[in-house]
Amino acid sequence: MYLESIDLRFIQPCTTHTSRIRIKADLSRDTSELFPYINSYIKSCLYNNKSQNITFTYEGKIITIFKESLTITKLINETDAYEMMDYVKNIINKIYNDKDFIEPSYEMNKLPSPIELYKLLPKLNCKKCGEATCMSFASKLLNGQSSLKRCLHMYECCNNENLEKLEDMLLTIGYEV
Amino acid sequence: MQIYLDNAATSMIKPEIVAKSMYKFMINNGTTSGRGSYKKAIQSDRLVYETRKSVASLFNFDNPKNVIFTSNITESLNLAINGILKEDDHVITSSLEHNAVWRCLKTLEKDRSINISKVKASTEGFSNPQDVENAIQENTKLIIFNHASNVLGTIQPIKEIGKIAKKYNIPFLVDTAQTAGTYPIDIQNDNIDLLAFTGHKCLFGPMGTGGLVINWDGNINPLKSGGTGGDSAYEYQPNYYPNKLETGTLNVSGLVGLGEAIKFINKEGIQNIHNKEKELIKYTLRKLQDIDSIEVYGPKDSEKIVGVISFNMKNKIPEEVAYELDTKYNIMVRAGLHCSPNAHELIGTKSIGTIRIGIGYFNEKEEIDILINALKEIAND
Repeated sequence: MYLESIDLRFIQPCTTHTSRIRIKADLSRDTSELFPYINSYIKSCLYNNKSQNITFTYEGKIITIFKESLTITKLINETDAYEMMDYVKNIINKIYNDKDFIEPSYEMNKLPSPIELYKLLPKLNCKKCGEATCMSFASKLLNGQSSLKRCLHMYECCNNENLEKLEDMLLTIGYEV
Repeated sequence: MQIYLDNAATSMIKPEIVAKSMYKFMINNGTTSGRGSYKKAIQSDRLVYETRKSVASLFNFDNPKNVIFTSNITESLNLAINGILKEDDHVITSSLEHNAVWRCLKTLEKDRSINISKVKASTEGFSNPQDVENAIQENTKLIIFNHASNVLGTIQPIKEIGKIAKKYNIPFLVDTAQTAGTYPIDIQNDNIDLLAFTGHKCLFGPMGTGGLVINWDGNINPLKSGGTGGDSAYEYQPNYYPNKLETGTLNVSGLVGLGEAIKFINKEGIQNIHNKEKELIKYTLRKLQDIDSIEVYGPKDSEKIVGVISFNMKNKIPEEVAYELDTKYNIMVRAGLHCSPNAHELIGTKSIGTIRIGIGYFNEKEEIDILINALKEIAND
């Protein structure tokens, strides 16, 4: 089998949806050669060629596959996690087997603009994250040069909805949150 | 040499891998599944999931989340029945239910004023699906049937009853204690909404395993409340499966064994298991009916029963015969009412009970020959 196993490594609650969980798991091999094929096979896939990962959603969960690991968010429980890992393993193996019949797509994910991220930030320019303004923090987030955790105000209850949207956005680009 | 013929109670002889895998798990892992966050707990979790998946696939079901594990099928049946029926609800059931269903219903009759309609059965244990349809009322909220009687062995018309249940939008609960593992069951094709199963009979798993497969989207109230390995701050049972109905530490080593047992069954093939047992049943029925002083109950047809055969010997009480079989001949059978008073009422043995043999996949023709000779000798005593 191309991909022998996906092994669960870590479970933690989702940040805003505390009744949901997210997981990190290890792949038994590097599957990045298949990313262009996955990009073509799965509709609405987001291929982040530069950062070498690929993201797609399935049944409301966000799956990001890295070189030799993956993350899945918004899972209901452990059984859900294992079912999703089975799904990913099966689809990777299927795509590998059908590789010759799939036209690889190198179409890259269009990154959101910093303004789209800025709209979801607290916009207080409090400088607690180490940046002068929320706008520059948004740019740093996009470049992977800063982490959402640095914005303490984001984690206040009133910002829950925006926090979730920001996390989803960053996950879709292929960053860990 | 000992001969085990009580497979309806439990499968004493199991594939070797079942016990070996449980031992291996207890020695090398032994942690509880759940959000442990250390590697061994995650492995433990995975093993439980794999067994959930195996159970689901055995019954042609594709949603492992809806496979709830319990400690035995009695718990599964209690879970479904108590979880669904409310005050003044009406329930339809067969005339051959085991006490796991019957006592549960009688208790709810007392505590929640439910009404019970028992569909009549012939003395051979056949039920007519039309009688089920005729019994349906406006407030019928559940139909419960055993797949095969643990006294007469008679296979019930599950598919047809399930079809009727679907027509009237009533959930259909099936007790597969005597059939899972030995008779092909397809939860979709057989129109089953709630499938209760036990791990330790024809599925060859250890005691302390069983469950309920939920192919229905109605509400089932939990039987137990407790920890579910997550959402601990929420003060009620979570609303998602399996955690809503499955609480407390699971019998992980047991489920590991059950997983291996199902692998064994898949390797042998249910149809092959069924065919071998059918041949043995046919042979046994023929030989039993050759003994004059023995009266065999039920359909006496290997196409219509599972490996459960009840009989009595003239001028002997069942316990006497069972005792002699055990002490003189080392043959294990079961005597009594077998927790199914209703079935005995059908055949008129409610006061004396019957001798029951339970034929399993690991029995051989030679063992039946020894049984028959023993019975002949006991009869001539």
